[in-house]
Amino acid sequence: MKQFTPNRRRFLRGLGAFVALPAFESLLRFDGAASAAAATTGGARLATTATGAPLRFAVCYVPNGAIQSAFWPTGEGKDFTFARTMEPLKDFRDQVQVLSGLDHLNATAGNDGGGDHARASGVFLTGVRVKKTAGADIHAGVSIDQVAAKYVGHLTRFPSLELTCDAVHKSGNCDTGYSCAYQYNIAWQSPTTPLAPEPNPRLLFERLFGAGAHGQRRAALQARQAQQRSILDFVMDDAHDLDDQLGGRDRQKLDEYLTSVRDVEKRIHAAESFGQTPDPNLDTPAGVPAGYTEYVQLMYDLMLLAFQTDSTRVATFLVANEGSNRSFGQIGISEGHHYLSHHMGAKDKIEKVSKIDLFYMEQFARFLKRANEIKDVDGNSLLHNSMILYGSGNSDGNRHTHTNLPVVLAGGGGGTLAPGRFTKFGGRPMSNLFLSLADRMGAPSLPRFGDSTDRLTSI
Amino acid sequence: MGNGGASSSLRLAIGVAMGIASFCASAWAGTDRPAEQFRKTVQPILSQYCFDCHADGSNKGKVAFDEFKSDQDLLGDTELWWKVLKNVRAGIMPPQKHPQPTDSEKRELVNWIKYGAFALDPAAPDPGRVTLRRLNRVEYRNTIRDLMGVDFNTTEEFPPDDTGYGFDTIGDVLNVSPMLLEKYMQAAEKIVNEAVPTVARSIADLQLYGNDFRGGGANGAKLSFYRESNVAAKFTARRPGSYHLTLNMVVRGSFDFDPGECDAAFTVDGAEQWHEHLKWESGKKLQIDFDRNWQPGEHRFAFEIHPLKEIPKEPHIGPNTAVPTTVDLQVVSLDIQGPMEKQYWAETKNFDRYFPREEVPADPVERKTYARQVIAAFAKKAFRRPADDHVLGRLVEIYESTASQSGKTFFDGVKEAMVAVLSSPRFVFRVEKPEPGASGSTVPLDEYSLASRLSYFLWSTMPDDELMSLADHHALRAHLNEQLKRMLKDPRSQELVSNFTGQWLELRDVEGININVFRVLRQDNQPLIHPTGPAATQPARQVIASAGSGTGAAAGGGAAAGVGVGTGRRDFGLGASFRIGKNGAGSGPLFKLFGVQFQLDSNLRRALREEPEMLFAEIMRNDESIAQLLDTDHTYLNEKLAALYKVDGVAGPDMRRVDLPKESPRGGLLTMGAVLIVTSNPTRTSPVKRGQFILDNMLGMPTPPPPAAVPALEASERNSAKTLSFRQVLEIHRSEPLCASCHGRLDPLGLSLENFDAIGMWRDKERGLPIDAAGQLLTGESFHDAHDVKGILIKNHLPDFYRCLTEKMLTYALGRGMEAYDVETVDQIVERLQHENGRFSALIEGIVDSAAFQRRRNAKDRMAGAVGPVAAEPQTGNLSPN
Repeated sequence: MKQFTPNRRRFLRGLGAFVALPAFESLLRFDGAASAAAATTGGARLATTATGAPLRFAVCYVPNGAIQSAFWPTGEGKDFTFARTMEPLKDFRDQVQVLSGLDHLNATAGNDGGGDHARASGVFLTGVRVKKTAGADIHAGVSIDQVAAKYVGHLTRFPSLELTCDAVHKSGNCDTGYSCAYQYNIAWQSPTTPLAPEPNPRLLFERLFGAGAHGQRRAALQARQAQQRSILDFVMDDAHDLDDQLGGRDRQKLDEYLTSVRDVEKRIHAAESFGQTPDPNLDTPAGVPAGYTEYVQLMYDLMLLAFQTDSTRVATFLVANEGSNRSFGQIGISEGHHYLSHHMGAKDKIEKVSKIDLFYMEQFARFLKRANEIKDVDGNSLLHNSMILYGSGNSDGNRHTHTNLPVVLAGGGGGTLAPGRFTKFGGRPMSNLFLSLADRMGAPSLPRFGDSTDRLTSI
Repeated sequence: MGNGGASSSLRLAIGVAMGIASFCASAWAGTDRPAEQFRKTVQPILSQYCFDCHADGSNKGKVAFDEFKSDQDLLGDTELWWKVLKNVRAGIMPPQKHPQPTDSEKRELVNWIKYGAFALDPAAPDPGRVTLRRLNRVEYRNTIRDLMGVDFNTTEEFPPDDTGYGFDTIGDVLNVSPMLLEKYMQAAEKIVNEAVPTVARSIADLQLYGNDFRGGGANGAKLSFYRESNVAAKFTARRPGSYHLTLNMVVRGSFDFDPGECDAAFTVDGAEQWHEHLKWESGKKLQIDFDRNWQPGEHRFAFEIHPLKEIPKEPHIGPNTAVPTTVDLQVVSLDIQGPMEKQYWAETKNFDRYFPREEVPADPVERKTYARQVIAAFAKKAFRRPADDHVLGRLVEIYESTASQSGKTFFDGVKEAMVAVLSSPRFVFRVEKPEPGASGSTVPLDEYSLASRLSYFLWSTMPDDELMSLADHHALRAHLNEQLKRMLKDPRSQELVSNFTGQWLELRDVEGININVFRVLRQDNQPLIHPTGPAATQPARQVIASAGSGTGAAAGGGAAAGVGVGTGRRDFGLGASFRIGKNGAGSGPLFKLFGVQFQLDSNLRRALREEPEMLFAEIMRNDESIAQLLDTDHTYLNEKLAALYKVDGVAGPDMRRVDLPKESPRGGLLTMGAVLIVTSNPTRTSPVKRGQFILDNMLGMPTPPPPAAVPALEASERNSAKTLSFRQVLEIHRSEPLCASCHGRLDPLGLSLENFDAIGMWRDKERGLPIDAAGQLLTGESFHDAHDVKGILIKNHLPDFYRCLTEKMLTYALGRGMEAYDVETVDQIVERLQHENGRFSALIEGIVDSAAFQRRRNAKDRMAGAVGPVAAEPQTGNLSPN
């Protein structure tokens, strides 16, 4: 029998202690292969700050928009005051940039009718109009995190990580005429292949560091990789063999498999160049915690751990799927989030939704706080060396609007961002922001992304 | 084709099809082209009934019939004609207040759409395009269970599958990511290591569990400290020798302290092996190890409980949980190993599943041949078709490269090859091939593919030996009908029941859905229920029902002396206390009404899920009419569910068939608790969701998608200061023309179920206001309540229900959504259902016999250009101008 609770508590406590320590140079192979690989492309170094530390890019997605009046600060530029929802960020306001006036016009109805939730999440990181289909031919675009991963993924043991706290999917149809794939994924490796996020903290931890107790993980990981190496040749061969016998869509499907084989193969071959895999002195988390708050915190902690150990520099965290109807007993809200978000102006519902917005923001703030406390290899904080976008693809959940999306950009981008401000863009594509972030990650100057019209200069 | 000939039902289907074909051939005789036919017969119908809104500058719903620039334009708009077909058939268009086309005019229109616009050929239906399907989590788990004899928990190990069209069997959305591939490889290794034994013989090992110990009505799984009991189990040693036994027990107590104590003893053949004085120490584990030297013969193990405390007169109520406390001893297991002497070792479990010989041949050549034989047999099962020589050669190479390493054995090599097999795309995907030598634009699937289609459809798992053997002999098609019957009788068909209904009716959500029972009950019963005590601070809130007015007589349970219980109270039937736990864990707050308790805990949730499953299973196994899903005179209940439904005389936790009282509002899916709950919000009903559910899942009637921008309703609702019933709120909603088009279809159906609250319980009032469930369907029929609606559905909309269920099940079976070219296939099955009074076999045979199930487009054929190799997608579609 698994004893979930004590294990998990130990993990959380352990992690607390772990991140509280000033620096973990030993865990970062900052001087080795990574720096060597960190060649410059068109100016910016690949996912590396000017001071030589890793530069991380993360996106945290929360569903159903936000109560606007509680979300947006007053004032502008450096002279602004947080409203209620962002209060939890006030302790590190100099590391946070609030961006208003960013839109996803491709999430609006257009000729596609209903389905704003599916579009909100489908468009959020892709910037394209996703194809309205309940399954036959899903089509979005490569998401910006995957664009970044494509260029910088080889620098770390994992090109990117995808996380979620939605371990259970609702059955039946998703949003009017859209496949559930648009709502349960935000990272898209290709326009037709979403990357399913990992909901299980144990499996995520084991994937990052190996299975077993501290001290045994490295060996377990090596054994697994040796095994995989012997199998990979066969499955690659077998898939090619099969490929010749198939046609049309079947072949396309098999290509997903082949791409995955190549990806895993690449990673295993590169494994040696990363030196010893870190083995954090922590218990492996037991599984999905029973309490939602603990669950969300644990996943944030794991994302942080992945960054801290430089296991990856790109991560997306779908905190809850778009349209989520979760209720929040822990803060006294028994109605569903989605149900409440269509408040039709009712004051009590608006109040409850803002409480939910606040709850999600508090968890994010806790993550930022920890990231702010961790000293990176260059002496700056991990938060300083990160670009962490938090937000939703809906702005007003009641009316399903997709302009002036509620987003916050945390972190200093290794000195390339100018946080500590409230910047109003007054109606520009969100994709413009993505282009500018991709530039900082060292992607070769992309001509455009999604519906971008330009770059965002003043961030 | 050279296969054994079509089954009789297939022949029937073709016969029907040919009939239609000849009908349409005659109807269209002499007509040259669909476009001309359109102008001659169809346009006049459209002009008479539709042009008011959909022509001459009017294009309601963005539909106009006179804006086609060319014949090609007209015929090519499949989406439009499909929409017309659905709306006309559903009786939604033309709207009821407008003149209606005659039946023959409707037929004319429908036929032109099918055979003219869609150019369907009933004699050679298009089987459609099915994408290579990955096993979903359920199928993977079942397949591993049947292939390897072990249970691998895919629900925990693999991420949830994406779904399409409401099902998790849709090839197009079952993706593979690098993470999933890694997981597959890891799973393969883990499974093989756990499942494949490497020794032919080992020490025999047998477990007895708590339930195996019985006596005097008691059961070793739960031995109360308050009850004198003696339970025993027997074991026969077949071989002489030394045995090692391990006994595991645990003390199970309620959360709150219980004063019970007892003397517990364990005897072997009458001799005491252990005894202990036990108290409430919940979770205390006891393990006893001992050895015996036994001759062949029977041995008796017994547990005795001697209570040391009287049963209290008043139940001991826990201060924290407000429920009676308990304390029991649970016998977890008795593990018997032996004989330990090697000559008496038993065959290792599962060894002969993989290895036909006890000893590995010593001769290297013979040994390699044997390895090849073992691997070939395994690969064939795992791939659901024989592995070709090339693949087999590669697998044997893997075997050799491992087995030849120092310290590695024959078994290590074979296991490594098995890991490769389970990681192969041939295992992970369901690879389908056409009959060898078949040609044409569509081709029959080969029998291995057909065997897999059958087994994954009906059992959600791999084909069994019988199916594989028939496929080996190319005799499956010839025996299709009897196989179908066998498979439906097999217990594995429960997978169809639970996986299909679990998604069609969203029953999978029932056990985890979040509901706030307190809120649900409180808002409708303000005078009846109020929280007492410091509700906010106590871990459990107790809600006592006080006096209320009503029509129901006080039930027996009302006599209990509860705090604040008045007289003349009205009961919810039995009076209810509910505990609804999140995730079915039974850990939510407890609600107590009228002194009688029962809880919407995991037991009740399971009952809620099983009720519709059991009705569906009954219809399937007994080949009854699927119309019973709309209304029946019986259902399946256990005590807790019966209490929720106010049905008397059902005791105990087991589900059983119950004839419903005449006046019961239950019967059929629509008024089952599970359906009512999954279509509610956490605190109250949602007539909109319920209406949508009926249209989507019962009638298959199209609902236009909601407008993208919610119009300004806020003002109108806010202006009204007094409490509005939900019906009134929705009426405001419907007074907006933009909302009316859609909510006119949704709301009346949903509101007809307003007598059932968000946990499926009957109610007469909503927020203190009397419930008015009456209304009118968009198709014109008036009704008073849910009962009437069921009657109307059966009387007037049975074909719609047949069509809806057919489409849902075809989608599930084929792993793809319905397309316009499927209209004919579905029509044929619906016709068959009507002809056979809705018998389940008509549905299932209709699906299995259909071209869509039996054939596929010929990927190599240029005629099937639509499915020809798809040009590689630009990998960065959003990086280029769009």
